[in-house]
Amino acid sequence: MALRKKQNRDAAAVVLQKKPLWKRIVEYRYFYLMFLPVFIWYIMFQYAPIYGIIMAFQDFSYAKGFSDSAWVGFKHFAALFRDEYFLRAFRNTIIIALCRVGFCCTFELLIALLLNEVRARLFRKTVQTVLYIPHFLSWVIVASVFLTLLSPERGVLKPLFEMFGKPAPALLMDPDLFRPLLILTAMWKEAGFGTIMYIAAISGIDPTLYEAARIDGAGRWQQLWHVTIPGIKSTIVVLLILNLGQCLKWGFDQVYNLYNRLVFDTGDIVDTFIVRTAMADSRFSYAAAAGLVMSLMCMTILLIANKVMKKVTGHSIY
Amino acid sequence: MKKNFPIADFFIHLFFIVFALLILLPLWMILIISVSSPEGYAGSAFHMWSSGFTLDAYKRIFSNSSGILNGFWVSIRVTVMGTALSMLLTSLAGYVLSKKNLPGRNMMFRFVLFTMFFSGGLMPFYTTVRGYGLTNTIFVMFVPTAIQTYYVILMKNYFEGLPDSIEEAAKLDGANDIQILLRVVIPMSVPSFAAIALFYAVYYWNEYFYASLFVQSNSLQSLPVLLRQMIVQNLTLAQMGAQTMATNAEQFKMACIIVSIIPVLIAYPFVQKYFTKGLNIGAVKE
Repeated sequence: MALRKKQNRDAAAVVLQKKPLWKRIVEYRYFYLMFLPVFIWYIMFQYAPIYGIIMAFQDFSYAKGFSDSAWVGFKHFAALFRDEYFLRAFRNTIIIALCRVGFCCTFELLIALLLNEVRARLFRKTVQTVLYIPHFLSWVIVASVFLTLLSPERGVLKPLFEMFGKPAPALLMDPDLFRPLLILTAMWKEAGFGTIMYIAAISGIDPTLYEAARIDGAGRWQQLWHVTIPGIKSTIVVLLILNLGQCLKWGFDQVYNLYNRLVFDTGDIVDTFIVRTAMADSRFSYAAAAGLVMSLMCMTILLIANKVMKKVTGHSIY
Repeated sequence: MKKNFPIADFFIHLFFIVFALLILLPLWMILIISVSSPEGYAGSAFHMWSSGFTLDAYKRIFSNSSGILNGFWVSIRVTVMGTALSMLLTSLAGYVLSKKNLPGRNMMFRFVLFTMFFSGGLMPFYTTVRGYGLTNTIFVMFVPTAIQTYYVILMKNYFEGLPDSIEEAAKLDGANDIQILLRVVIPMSVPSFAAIALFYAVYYWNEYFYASLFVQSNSLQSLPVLLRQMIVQNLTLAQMGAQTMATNAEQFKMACIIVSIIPVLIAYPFVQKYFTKGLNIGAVKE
């Protein structure tokens, strides 16, 4: 069987090799034509900005542009790693990202597994519909809702705390509570939608496996443990690593809309630091340098995650 | 042979009811606040039911002076044009990259993929786009962010799963590859297209950051940008300890939120059925 497959493949390869390269290129000419606008877009909006990174090595000013701004080498990078505010943002970014991956992924998996236990279809459909909704609201809206509802003066907590004769706490202005609140609001917004991949994986499990398990006398708990979880194990690993690879890029929208000066100590992340440095302080090159450090961090984590995944599951996403 | 755990079932259902309520209640509360009179808002504790019903906030939105109506129009244009452009480029990219025998495909794929691993970052991106002279035009709100590489990969994996025979048949009928994509492949791919188009549309509808970065002129402020400005204003007031000053604005702000949510809530149920189908394929494949 395997031998026949190999022969077939060899035969196909021979057929391909028979046609010279230029002939194949002509044959596929429409595909190159279709790719042209995509190519131009990537050059203009992805690769040109990568070239623009040179501004991190300059004292860039918009009056002078890339060609005339003075080169300063690694000056900005040296300054960055002595800047306590950058280091604070760097630390916060990593802590928040890891907490989000840890808590949110676990929670999503838990919801997906629980949802799978719901047998009533209408109930299940309704719950899914409701749980997906917040994913489609922007962080501007979500943050605005929470800021209003949790405000100590007008929020819903005020009457609750008044019952005990206490003033309502200013939750979003407390540095100690800011990170937990980030996790909770992230769960509120994304946990429902995050179950989609798990649910798709669960629905792909062969139903005869459950039948066989039932015939063997397995209860629901045992079915969950011995059929469902092994059935989606590869999905869990893939999603976990995928999330790890992306985790540093999360959070800008959320933090930018929820934070305030009082919680910078625990809540300021590199992306918000960059925006403030660039927009409020007009230190463009410094911000670009911080951005480059971040990009390199992201790339390293993504490459490591991909490597690990290749080892663990035998295939990679990319 | 099925064993039943009524208690477990009870708690699972309870969990989901509570979770669903935690999502729906805040939305209900902002709806109530948006139709409350200032006294009603101040007097109500949980905003579960409106005392002092009024549509003043909505009247203010739909009177031209607020600028919200204009923002609504800007957002609609950005969303429609942006989604169209994004779908065009994304499907082109996905389709081309799905052709295994295309000479140079691996190189093209790496060219696209690299941008997922490494990007210039905010400042170089801002400077480059500014250099193109796109600032303060409507195009700056969708052209620079038209392609999201992740969706290109989804599309590519999806197209790879289609049977070759259909395209070959169309080819025998004399169609060229572009015609095949437009007339055969795309009509076959409604679930994937609907799901990805919804994601792009929601992205454009909600996008405020680049819009506020690149657009200064008043006539081009999109809805989320206006919303964000209101929030920032309220926040600064709150930090100065002047919450009461902002109270009147609160109903207006909530009404704006309701107005900006409604289009999404209308579109969403139509596309929801495609989610698992359209996204399942390819996402965690290979």
